[in-house]
Amino acid sequence: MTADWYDLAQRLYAARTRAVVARLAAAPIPRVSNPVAVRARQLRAGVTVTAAAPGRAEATARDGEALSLLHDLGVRVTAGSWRTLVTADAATLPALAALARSADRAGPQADTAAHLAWWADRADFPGSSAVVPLTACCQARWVTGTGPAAENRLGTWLAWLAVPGSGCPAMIALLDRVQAGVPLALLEWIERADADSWAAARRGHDGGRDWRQPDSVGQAATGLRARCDLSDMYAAALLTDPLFRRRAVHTGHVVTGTAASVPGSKNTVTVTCDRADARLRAGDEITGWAGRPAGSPSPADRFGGTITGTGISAGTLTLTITGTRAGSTPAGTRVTICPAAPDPQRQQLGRTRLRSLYGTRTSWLTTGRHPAVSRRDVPLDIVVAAAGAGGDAGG
Amino acid sequence: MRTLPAADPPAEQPRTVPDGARTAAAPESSQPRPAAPARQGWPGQELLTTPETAQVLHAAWSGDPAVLVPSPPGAGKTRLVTLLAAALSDRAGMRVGIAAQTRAQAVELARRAAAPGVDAVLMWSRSQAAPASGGTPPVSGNRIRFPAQGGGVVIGTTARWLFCDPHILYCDIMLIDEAWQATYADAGALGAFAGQVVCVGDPGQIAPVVTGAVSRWDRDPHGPHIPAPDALRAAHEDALTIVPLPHTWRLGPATTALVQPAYYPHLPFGSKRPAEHVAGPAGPLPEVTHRPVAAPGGPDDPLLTAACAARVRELADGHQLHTAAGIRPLASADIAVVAPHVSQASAIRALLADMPDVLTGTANQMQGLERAAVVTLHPLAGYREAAGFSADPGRACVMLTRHRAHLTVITDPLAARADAAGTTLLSRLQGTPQV
Repeated sequence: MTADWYDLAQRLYAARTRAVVARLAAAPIPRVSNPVAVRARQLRAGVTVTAAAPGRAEATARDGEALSLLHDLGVRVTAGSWRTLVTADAATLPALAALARSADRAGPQADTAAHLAWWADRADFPGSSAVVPLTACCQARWVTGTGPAAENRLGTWLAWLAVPGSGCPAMIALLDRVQAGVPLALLEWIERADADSWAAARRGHDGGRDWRQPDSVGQAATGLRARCDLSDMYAAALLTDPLFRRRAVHTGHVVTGTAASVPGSKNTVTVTCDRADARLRAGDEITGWAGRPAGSPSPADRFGGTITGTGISAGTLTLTITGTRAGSTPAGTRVTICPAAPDPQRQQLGRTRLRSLYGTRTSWLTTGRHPAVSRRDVPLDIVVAAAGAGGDAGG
Repeated sequence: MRTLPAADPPAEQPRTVPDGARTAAAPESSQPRPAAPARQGWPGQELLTTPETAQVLHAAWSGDPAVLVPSPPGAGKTRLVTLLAAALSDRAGMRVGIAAQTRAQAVELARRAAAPGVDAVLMWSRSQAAPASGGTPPVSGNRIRFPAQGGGVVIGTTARWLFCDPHILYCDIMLIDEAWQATYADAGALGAFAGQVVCVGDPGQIAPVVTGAVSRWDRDPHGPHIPAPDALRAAHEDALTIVPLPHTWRLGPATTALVQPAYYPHLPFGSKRPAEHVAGPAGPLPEVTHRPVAAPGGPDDPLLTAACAARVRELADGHQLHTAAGIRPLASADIAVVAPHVSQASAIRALLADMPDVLTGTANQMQGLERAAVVTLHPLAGYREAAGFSADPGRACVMLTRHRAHLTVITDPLAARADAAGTTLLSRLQGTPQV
């Protein structure tokens, strides 16, 4: 079966039973404590914002008054903790970013504008508790019996999940449904990154940083690295979910097979895979356990290792795994193999090293300055050859 | 782990070059150095055989801050990088860093960099099995150093370089291999190791792998996710030296005429491939052909993968490879199959289980590889509209440029109405001879 067929089967089942089908057992976002639901539009006349928070009625305002509305809802970078933006459409964040850019750096609403700029930055981080794209989170958690395009609309989810009301208050109610239960494992690392980023935004604001300025080359580079790291972490978080792993068998991200020991090696095992479309490659680090993909093995029941060899024989894929306790898996055991989660400490170290390299002030590449030229003399034969006259390359 | 000292590394350190001798009329020199002599038989001397490669050597040696070398497929990029490193380290006495984008590329560069007079090492993790790096030793830990005197070459992946200390491994120049697969963010960080960079790569192929979202830099022509050479052009166009390589030695004239306008509109190039073709019982096969296979079941329709396998069996049965070296039967090891998706490649591999020497993989896996004959499953086959992945021009370019002598593209006539990037090329492929 392919993942497309798997998805279609779930969708058809949802249509027949008229109930959503779960794609995840756990919540795809961390628990959010200070949500602000916002719908914003940028028109020629300005930016219009409609917003609500738990216990606060929905209100609408434009431009400077919109900033005041958000300020009153606690959206201030000077506040003790961040507010979580809950959105349900693609137009809101760009409109809020435009609103932030229009604010005066020294004006009374600067702290609100800086918070909007922080939202715009954190929107690129999946699983973040800074910005919750509601329809995307619903799609991560469930599948409905409608077409995929309809699932991009808030109304579809309100109807399928029987959430009453409309507008921003309904978005807050839907958020409660999305974050119900236990969050995915590993999301704490993304939440921790949110907290670090929030602290940096507060320090920057206190230090007079202008949120309207574009990133320096170093800020952009470290920003990209953080996005990739946390995106990889979110992908690993999804693989901690048993329902997600069942589907991932059909994308090749989770591999099932039968273990066989390797004579003379205590820490090596080979796995004859059930399917040949695995995405695991030599050099990949993995985690595995005896049992099915939807099982919930304890850490003690898992083995880790590295793929040290892959081979196809008569159409069957065999993986060789070397690592901790891999070799103790009894021959003939049915096993499940997943990519290992990234090491958050190593990710953090990588970002720190990148920041250090971009701290090199003598390099035109790390600073973005125009390069200065420092010349060397070149032998005549090379000058002549470069001029197209040919060179004596015969030696 | 070492920690960085507080001070920045020096922008340039005085070095000993082999000796001073005959020099060209050099451009104004802010830090004059003696030039190397016109020696006979020096490593990298082959660079002087064509003006383009000599220009790259001249630009790098003379101190141009950034040299971009856009190259078509099969233009000799790896050869250029290894010869350039050899020439600059041996004859110019420079410390040369080479940054590859994958471990396999780093090993291949190390294997080819080994030459008498070239002091090269490959940075390699102690926990990894020793690679087959030829005469270039793999080293780790504090053994990763340039020679105390004279030039040297240190080879590693970009990721490995970014964990090194620029105070210890400061170079005169950094050669970035497959630079269009490196992000501007990573190439910028390599700037901490060298004030000069040479970016060699293929601008038509798959862009850098970026797993994070990049909406923040959507409209930024030098955003951190952009391929490094493209971002450098956007940021510092007037400070760059650009030396395109004008020929492919892999692709024949028909393939060149097909892919150059579609994927390299700003890189005109021609074919210098020696005469080579595959011949069947009925005579020579055209260089590029297509076979239409309707796929009503979408991209995973078994008809598509079965057609790929069937074409491989045809080619392996009674066809001959004609090259300058002679005529011999076309063997399984001369054939590759390229499919867009992992699931398709796996299905084809299973269908060809009795032909293990046939190389089968996706575009990502096939980058940098070539075979005499290739069967490619068109990326839009099975699709009724061009989505992001299926319409990615870099991926399609890789799939259509892995062959030397013969290419059969399995096309889907039902996908002909697909729009966006694929349409023109799909139409042109359908104009090639049908097999």
